[in-house]
Amino acid sequence: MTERDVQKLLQELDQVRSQVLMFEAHLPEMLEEAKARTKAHLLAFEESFPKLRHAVEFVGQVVPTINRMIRMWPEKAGSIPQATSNLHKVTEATETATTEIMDVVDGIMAHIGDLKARLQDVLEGIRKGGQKSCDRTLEEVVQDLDSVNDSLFQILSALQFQDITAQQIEATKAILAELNQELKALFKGFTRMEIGEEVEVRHGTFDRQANYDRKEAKVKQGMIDRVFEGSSTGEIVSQDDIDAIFD
Amino acid sequence: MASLKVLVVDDSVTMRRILINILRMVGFDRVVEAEDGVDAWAKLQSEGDIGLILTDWNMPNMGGLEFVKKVRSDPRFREVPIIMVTVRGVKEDVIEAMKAGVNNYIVKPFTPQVLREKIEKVLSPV
Repeated sequence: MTERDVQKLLQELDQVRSQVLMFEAHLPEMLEEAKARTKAHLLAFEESFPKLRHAVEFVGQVVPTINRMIRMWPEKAGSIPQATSNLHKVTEATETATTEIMDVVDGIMAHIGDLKARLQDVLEGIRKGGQKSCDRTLEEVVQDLDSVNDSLFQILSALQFQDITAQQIEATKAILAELNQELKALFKGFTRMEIGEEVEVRHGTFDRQANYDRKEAKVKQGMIDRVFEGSSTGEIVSQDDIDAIFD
Repeated sequence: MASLKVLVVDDSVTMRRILINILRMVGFDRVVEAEDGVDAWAKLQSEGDIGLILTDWNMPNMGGLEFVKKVRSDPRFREVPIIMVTVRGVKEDVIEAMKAGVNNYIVKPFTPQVLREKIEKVLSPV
C-alpha cells in the first residue's frame, strides 16, 4: 500500500464518518416520522376493523345461504317448469274447451237453419192442406230438437274446463308460494329488503294433476269402472288385482 | 227417480251449475247445493230426505273424502248412495275413496252420459 492509497482510504473513512454523523443527527426525526406513520396505519386499521369484521360475518352468513341455495336448487328448479307446464295446461284446456263449444254452437246453428226451413215447409203444407207430409216433417223436427238438446249437454260438459283450469292456477299459485317462502327464509336475517307479500293459496281446493284431457279421463274412467265393477262382482279382492288394472 | 232429492257438493259454482243442469236434463228436479263438506253435512241433516250425493274431492274446510267418511259413520246416512266426482284419478285416490265408502267414481272432465250411467248404476245396484 502506497501513501496515496492510505490517503484515499482516509478520505473514504471521513465520508463514512460524516454520513454516520448525518444519520445520527436525523435519526430522532426519522424515528418520529416512522412512529407517526405506524400510528396513522394503526388508526386506519382500528377504524376499518369493525367493517372488516362485519364483512367477515357477512361472508359467514352468505356462505351457508349459498350452500342452501345450491342444495335447494335442483329440487326447486323443477318447480319452475312445473308452474310453466301448469300455465300451459290452462291455455290448452281453455283452447280445447272453446273449440269444443264452438263446434257444438256451429252444429246448433246449422240445426236451427235446417229446422227453420222444415217448419216453413210445414207451414206451407198446412196452407195447402197436406196433413201427412206435415206430420212427417214435424216428427223430423222433434228429432232435430233432441239433437239440439244433446248438443247443449256437450256444451255443459265442455264448461268443466273452468273448474279444472281454476285448480291448475291454484296449483301454480301453490308452487309460487313455496318458492316465495323458501326465498324469504333464505334471505331472512341479513337483508332488510322486502321480498314480497305472502302468496295466498286455497289449500285443499286443488289437485296438482288436474288436467282437461278427455282421452286421459276416458282411460282413467275405464280403469276405475273395472275396479268398481270387479269389486261388486267379487272379481277384485286384492291390491294385486287393482294394481293389474292400473299398472 | 224424478222424486229423488240429490245433494250436489262442489266448491266450484260452475261445476254445481253443470251438475244441476245435467241432473235436470236427465230428470232430477229436486237438487240441493253445498259448497264444501261442512255445508254438505249441515244440508244432509237439515234436508232429511237426500237420496243421492254427488261430491267433489278437493274442497276447502272439509274435503269430499272426509265428508264421505262422516256420512258413512252415521247410521242414518249409511245407505245413501255417493258418487265422487273429481279430477283425481290415480289408483291410490280411487282405493281411498272406495275404502271411505263411495258407491261410484267419476273422473273430470266427464260426459253427461257417464254421469247418467253412474247414477243409474248406484240407484239400481245388481
